[in-house]
Amino acid sequence: MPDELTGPGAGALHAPPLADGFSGGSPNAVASGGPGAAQRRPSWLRAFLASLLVLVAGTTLGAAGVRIERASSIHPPAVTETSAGWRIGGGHVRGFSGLALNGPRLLWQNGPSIEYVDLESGKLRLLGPGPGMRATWAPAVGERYAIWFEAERTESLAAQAVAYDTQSGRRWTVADVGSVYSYPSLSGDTAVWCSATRIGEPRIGGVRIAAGTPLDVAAEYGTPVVSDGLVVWARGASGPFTARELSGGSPWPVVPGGLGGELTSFALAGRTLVWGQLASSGGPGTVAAASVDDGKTQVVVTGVAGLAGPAFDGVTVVWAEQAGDAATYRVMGRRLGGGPAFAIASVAAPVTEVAVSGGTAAWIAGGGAASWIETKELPR
Amino acid sequence: MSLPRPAWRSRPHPSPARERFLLLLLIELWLLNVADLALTRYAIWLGFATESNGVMDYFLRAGTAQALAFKIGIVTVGALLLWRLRGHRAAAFAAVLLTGVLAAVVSYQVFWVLNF
Repeated sequence: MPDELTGPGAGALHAPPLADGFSGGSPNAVASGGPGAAQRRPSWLRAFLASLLVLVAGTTLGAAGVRIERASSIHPPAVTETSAGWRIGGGHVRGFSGLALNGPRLLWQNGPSIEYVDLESGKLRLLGPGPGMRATWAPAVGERYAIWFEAERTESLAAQAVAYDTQSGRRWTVADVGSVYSYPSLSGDTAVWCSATRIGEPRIGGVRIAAGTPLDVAAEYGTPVVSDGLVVWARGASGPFTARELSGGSPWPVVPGGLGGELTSFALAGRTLVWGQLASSGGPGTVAAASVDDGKTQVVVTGVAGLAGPAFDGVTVVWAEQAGDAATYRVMGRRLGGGPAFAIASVAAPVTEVAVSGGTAAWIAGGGAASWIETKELPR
Repeated sequence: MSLPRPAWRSRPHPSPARERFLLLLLIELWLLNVADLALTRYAIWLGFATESNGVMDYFLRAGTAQALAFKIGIVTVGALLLWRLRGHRAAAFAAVLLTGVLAAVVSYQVFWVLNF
């Protein structure tokens, strides 16, 4: 403490004012410590070192606080590198869903948390929910931005669209969504979704993330996906699909006529729409692709048991299927430009979601707390 | 005739060494205060933190200049007050406490940002 710096006697209660050897006479004079007691000269170095000690003590306390807080309240899943990619799971998993992949940017929901891994570094970040929010919806990710919805509760009529810039690490509320009718889809900085700001009046709209400019696509219900300036939406659980250019013009049907059973998933890249559809509930599924412009349809695979997906990045269609022994699932791929289907991975648990981007496939397997995410480079 | 000194009022004990120590602590406190504001502003800009101090939240919402003026102003006044009381050991004790706590707050923010 301070007085110790001056040596014994400097702070003695009955010493005369300024009688510590620095206010007059010899600086080294004996002052109040009694006969023969040496008075230490006040030193800037000692004062600096003592103040530094206070700083170090405070800094240590702060660092310990961060460490304790992270250990007790933040339980991210473990991210481990495998021979072929990454595996995310173990630790504190509340159930993975909402897988989104674009280049090295992988996002998903873990319970109400939105988590993000940079596949180049393996570093995991917790992006949401933000302060005061408890509910989130599946995210979408593009070349730079990610977007998802947050609200105080799932039934909220006042959800917000939250954007995250993977370059600056900043997140912000980009739009008021209202009542959520679909997850967001993202291409470049254009996000689209279906929501209702008035009860019972769903609209397909969105936002230009960088500028915060709202978009209005159609005054109807639908589940939209976007690629560049083109939006395609499914008007119901089994279609049909309608397309519209964001630049203007009228909407048009993508695949005329009935499609059949329930859609498992659909994706848009460029002017090609890829979707999966079940013949009946729980029955075998078909993956097909169609040109948005002329409706020309190509069957990618048919008779698929336990279909999950598909995902499509403009080159490769990826889906998951149940293998012959029923206990094993396979993640499969097929290049739309030609060539046979190929196996990407064999998984010893049901695969619920798949994603693909830039030569990398990702999937969610298992369920609930036992679920995990894996990524793997596609075979060339 | 002089009035008796109240029991709670301590007698000053001037010490040049303690004054140096106090001066350095007050400079550190002032710098930590600026760092605290900068890091708070950055964390709020990142969107992952909110200001939980209602008074500071008011000034931060009013603008960075207002927040800067309030935060630097109040700490400068406090530091000058402690310097005026430099003859008292309690001033150095208070400075140690304030600087230690603010160092903990700032290091918490630094490590939070680095770990993010």
